[in-house]
Amino acid sequence: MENVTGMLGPMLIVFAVSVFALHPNWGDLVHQVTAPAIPDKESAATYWYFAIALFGAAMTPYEGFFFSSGAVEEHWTTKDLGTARLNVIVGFPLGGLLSIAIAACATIVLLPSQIDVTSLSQTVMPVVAAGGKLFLAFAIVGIVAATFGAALETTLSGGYILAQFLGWPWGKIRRPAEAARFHVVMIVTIVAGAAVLYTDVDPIMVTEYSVVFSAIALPLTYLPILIVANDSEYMGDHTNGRATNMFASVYLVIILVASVAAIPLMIVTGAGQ
Amino acid sequence: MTELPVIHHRGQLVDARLHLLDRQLLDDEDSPAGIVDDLVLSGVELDKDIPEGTEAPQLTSLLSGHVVATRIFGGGPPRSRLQGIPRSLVDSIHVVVKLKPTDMVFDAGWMERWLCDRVIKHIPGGRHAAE
Repeated sequence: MENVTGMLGPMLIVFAVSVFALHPNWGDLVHQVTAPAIPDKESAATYWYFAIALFGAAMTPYEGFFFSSGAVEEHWTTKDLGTARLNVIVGFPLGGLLSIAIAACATIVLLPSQIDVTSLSQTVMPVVAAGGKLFLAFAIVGIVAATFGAALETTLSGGYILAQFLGWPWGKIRRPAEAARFHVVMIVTIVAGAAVLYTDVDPIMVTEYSVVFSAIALPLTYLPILIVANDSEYMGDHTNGRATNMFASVYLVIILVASVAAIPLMIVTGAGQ
Repeated sequence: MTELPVIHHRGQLVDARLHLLDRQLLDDEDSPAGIVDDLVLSGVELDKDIPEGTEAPQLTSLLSGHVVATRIFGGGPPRSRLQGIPRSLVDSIHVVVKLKPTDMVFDAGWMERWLCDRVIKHIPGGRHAAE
């Protein structure tokens, strides 16, 4: 299931194609990237608040649980290290590229018309402008796959975290009847998530808050993983080298700064209002 | 903090808090059997001084059991809520604690059984294995 969503998610590449199809003024676009202008009614704090939100969205703290538990369930060995590396080295930059493409599409089409994005459906408007129904079809399949995949990941991660912390039988390869509490936690998670959406709450706001809280929680999963990556009891001969640890330490500082700054920025900017 | 004496010995040196407590317990088929919640040591009594020259205490069993509330809110569950697993059943201590084949039934508790019988089994596919 999560593999299907993984295969279909890259259809979002249509956003990148749209950027080219829209024939933007490249010089202008590059200028906006290199010299970002903060709108008059917003402060630098708002800018950094949304920077941290984006950061939290890209580095969701539950990914670690999802991938490590999947590795245990599917009996990964050191032979699978190659696949795991490929996932990180190709998958993450691709995701970043798609995010940039979506932002670029919005900048080209929505920003000049002063359109504020208030729902997910508005983000596909530039794609329609670029390629009509065909592009829209690709974008819809991609978005469904991406959101469905994210829902699977978060739900499973919730089950994994609780079951492993409390010593319950767990795993999607197990019969549900053999891991009842694990599966009940996932059902409750889905029902609670749907219940939140049925209240009149603004889904964009829920997403913003959740990604900011992701950034706040990030050191709590990043640091243990960094420690385990240096523990030969877990890693055997594959512990981090010096260069990796150096980069990882620099990254730890960035993560800590983002985490510590998130709540003050949230208060100062009124959550980016 | 005083330095602990360095004792050279053969075999695997295990730090109870670092390598045992909170580790996952797997049975011989790699199915989760619980987590190590507490340890039973022989020859040590609570609140009593240990006279000089007493033999070193030995680990007699691992305890595992109903810990949801105490793991979240702190404290320890009463002994009756924990199941003892004799040390002789421990196969290996690594990133997980593996147990030897045994007839012993690991008490998953009423919560697991109740949820299984009342909820999960009634859901279509609840008893089916994943493909």
